[in-house]
Amino acid sequence: MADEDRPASEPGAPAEPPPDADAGRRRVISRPAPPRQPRAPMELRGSDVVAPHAEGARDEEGRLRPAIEERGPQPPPANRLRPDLELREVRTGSRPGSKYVRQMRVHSTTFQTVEPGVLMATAEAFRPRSGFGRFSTALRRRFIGLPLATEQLAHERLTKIKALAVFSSDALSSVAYATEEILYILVGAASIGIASAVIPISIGIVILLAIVAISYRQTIRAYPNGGGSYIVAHNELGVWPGLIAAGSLMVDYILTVAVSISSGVQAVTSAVEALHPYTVEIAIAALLFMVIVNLRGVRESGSIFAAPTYVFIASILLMIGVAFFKIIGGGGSPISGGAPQTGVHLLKQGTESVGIFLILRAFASGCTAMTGVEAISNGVPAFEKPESQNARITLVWMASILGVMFMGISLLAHHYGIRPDDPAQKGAQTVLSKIAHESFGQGNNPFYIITQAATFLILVLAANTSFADFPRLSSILAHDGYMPHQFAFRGERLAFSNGIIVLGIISGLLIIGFKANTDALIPLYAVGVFVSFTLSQSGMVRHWIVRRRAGGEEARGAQRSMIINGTGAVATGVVALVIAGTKFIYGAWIVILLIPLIVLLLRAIGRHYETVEREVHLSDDELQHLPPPAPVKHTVLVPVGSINRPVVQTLAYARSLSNDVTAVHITDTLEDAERLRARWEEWGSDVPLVIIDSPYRSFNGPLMAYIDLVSQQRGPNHIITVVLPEFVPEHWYEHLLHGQTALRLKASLLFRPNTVVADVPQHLGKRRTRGQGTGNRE
Amino acid sequence: MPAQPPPGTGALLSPRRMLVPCDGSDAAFSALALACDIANRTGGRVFAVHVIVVRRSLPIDDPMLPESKRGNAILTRAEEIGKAMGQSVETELLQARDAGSSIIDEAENLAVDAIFLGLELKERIGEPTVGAKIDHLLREAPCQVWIFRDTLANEGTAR
Repeated sequence: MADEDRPASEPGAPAEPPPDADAGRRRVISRPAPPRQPRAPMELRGSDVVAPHAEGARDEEGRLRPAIEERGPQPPPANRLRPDLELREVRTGSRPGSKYVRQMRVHSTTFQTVEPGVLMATAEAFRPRSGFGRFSTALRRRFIGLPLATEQLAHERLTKIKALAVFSSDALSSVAYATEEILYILVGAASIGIASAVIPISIGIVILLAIVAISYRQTIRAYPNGGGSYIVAHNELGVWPGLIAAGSLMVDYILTVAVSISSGVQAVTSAVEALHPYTVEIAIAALLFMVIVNLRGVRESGSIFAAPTYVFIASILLMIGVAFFKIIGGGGSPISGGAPQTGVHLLKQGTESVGIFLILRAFASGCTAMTGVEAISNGVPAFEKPESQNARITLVWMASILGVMFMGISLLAHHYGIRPDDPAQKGAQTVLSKIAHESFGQGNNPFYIITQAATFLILVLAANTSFADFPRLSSILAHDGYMPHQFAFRGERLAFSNGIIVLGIISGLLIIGFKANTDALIPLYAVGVFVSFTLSQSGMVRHWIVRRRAGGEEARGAQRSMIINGTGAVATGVVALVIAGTKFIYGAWIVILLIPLIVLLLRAIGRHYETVEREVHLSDDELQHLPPPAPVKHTVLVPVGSINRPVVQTLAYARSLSNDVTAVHITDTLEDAERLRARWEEWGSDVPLVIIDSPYRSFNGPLMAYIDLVSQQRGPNHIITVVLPEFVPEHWYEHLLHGQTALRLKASLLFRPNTVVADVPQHLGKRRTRGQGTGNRE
Repeated sequence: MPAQPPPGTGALLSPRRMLVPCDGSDAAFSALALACDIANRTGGRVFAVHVIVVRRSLPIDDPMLPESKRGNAILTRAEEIGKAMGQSVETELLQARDAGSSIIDEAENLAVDAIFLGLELKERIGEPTVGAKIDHLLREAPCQVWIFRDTLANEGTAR
């Protein structure tokens, strides 16, 4: 409002009448002015009505009604705005009787006319208008790139080669730590002899991987538009199983980012010991890099990630090949176990007895190798056409490469008798680093360096699987109404920016909280993924049962698929129980507790959106019987501090809305109020002025109370419109010189039902330079 | 003594307000590019119009949606060509019973100095012809009429 600095009126407010006040008065007063009331005695406290509404205008309930009748529906004006902003006119031609229609298109750099009534905003329309906007946009352009149009979305598809890099980096990179985690349990907790169990455990995991991969091939076939665990469980089993799958996946995606980046940094500190104290800092820098790359869009991230993924695959396969060649060339067998190494940073020798629990716990830790296997089925729509077929082929590639690498590393770790080091110890090396040394020779030879560098890169980039899938899952959940709608919007680069940023923040907190220690994070890991695997595969079993019952063409192959998915469901279900049971006390309890909380939160969000939808939805039937919008009954209130240009302009605007306008002045000094009233009467406005004395100097409270009373008088179906005169300083820092009363009032009125707030801004600097009028001219 | 150009030749070759009827053909867009080039040198303005011919059975202000959509696409292309040439082309969509007459009326209305026409030769009974519209404009236009014909190799659709 104009006098927003002052809680109530202040002495000496600039209140010169406008230079053309007389002219304005002549035009504004187009009907007899209401009779002026005698000035109220000064001692009267509370509300002091200067010019109340004409008497006798009360409704059947005795409520005061405006003296002037509400305006009924008005015919549209002759110069009514064409929504497409085009000017269309019929012109007379030069030939007798000839006419033609002239349609001038929008001549603007900000819009293009697509067809009559349809405009398309050009890139120019998105240009920031404020200094801060220009700064933030320049920053975004530098790091994230130029915005992409929605029509470019179809081109943002991945080839199989790039898709393998984007969607499989999580699964493939887990070979860098999966074997180590098995050994960590076996060697760390028990006697050295049990380390040989790494081979049967690895074989078990590879078999499980084959089962899951074959099962997900069925899912991709049945869900060519993307069959993530959430979609399958939600569609086939219902809301709750769907949300459990979603919650489990979300937790696991977050953990994938934290574990992958932490493990990648560990690979670096294995090779460069001096960097060990900066583990957390390096991890956060890598995470930031991931966030920025993903905000740039999926195709570019595919290009960036392809090279490290393939270098990693090549270096690991080379490492395994060279090691096998050496072993076989030396007359040995890679299957045979070697004597345990005597490293300088060995873990404490275990004291636990060898038992089934230990084996199961090691198996559960090794199952981290399978995290990310489902990513391809989530991302089917991102593949080039034919999406489904390409996704199935890529899944087979991924499972085969993963199986070979994982088994190879486990065999070599067993053969060389490698034992994991305590990562907290200085000079600690990863199992993979030790195998690379065995294979390529001791010292920092180039192949070793390449392997370690590629391991670091792929582990950091493995987080990309989560950065691809977490935002996609969030967008699907948001679309279904289980997450805030903001997660469904694509950013400037067509990526789901909000999901990417949220994932970055949460995983960053995890990295800091767990000091980028993979071993501390691993117990939390893989629970969610196996829960979602189980729900997804169970959903697929139901899918095939329904198809089989439907008969005909759809039933073909349903029984076979049902058996495959059923086997997958049972296997992953058992593994989920094993992981939850064996890791519970080591940290899995956090995830087991967190998943239900997330599920409940998602359901609560869903209920909120359902309630909103119920309240705002208009059915087709209702729409047919809905009368065209009629003018609403409303009373307009204008808070005024003094008579000045913004106030006059605001009153002119308010009068154009309704004849039922009242100016409200809140004061803590009745003498000032008296002066204002005198000037008001001198001005001769037909808008009545009410003075409210505020002995406690508050502005908002008395005004809100007055609005409540007006609202009470007018009835529940009456709208109260509060029109606020507001200063808009030329420079942002000038805002500090104003009290922002209008802003506070708007905030208070925002939650008041049946209340509309309108701002009449007075741009101070611009007004000075352009010499605008008072605005009360008609 | 070298030959001098006739007086006023400079003004003749420097129209400042130019109208280009665009029917979506390559020739019309080439004529538009030529007009933009001249406007860049003379500081002139270029107007592009597309005429939708309305059949007698329909009212003159019929929405003509499919034709409007096509016309808007042509004019958008014209704006893009203008932008590429550094000119802000002002575009209008006309609906008329006769294309030639409406172009002449609009040329008068906009007070243009020249109409730029892209020509694609057509054959009628084996003889090349410029077509009725251009013929009409040549006879009736109140201003200069520039006709642009590309090399036959580039004409594409004409032959």
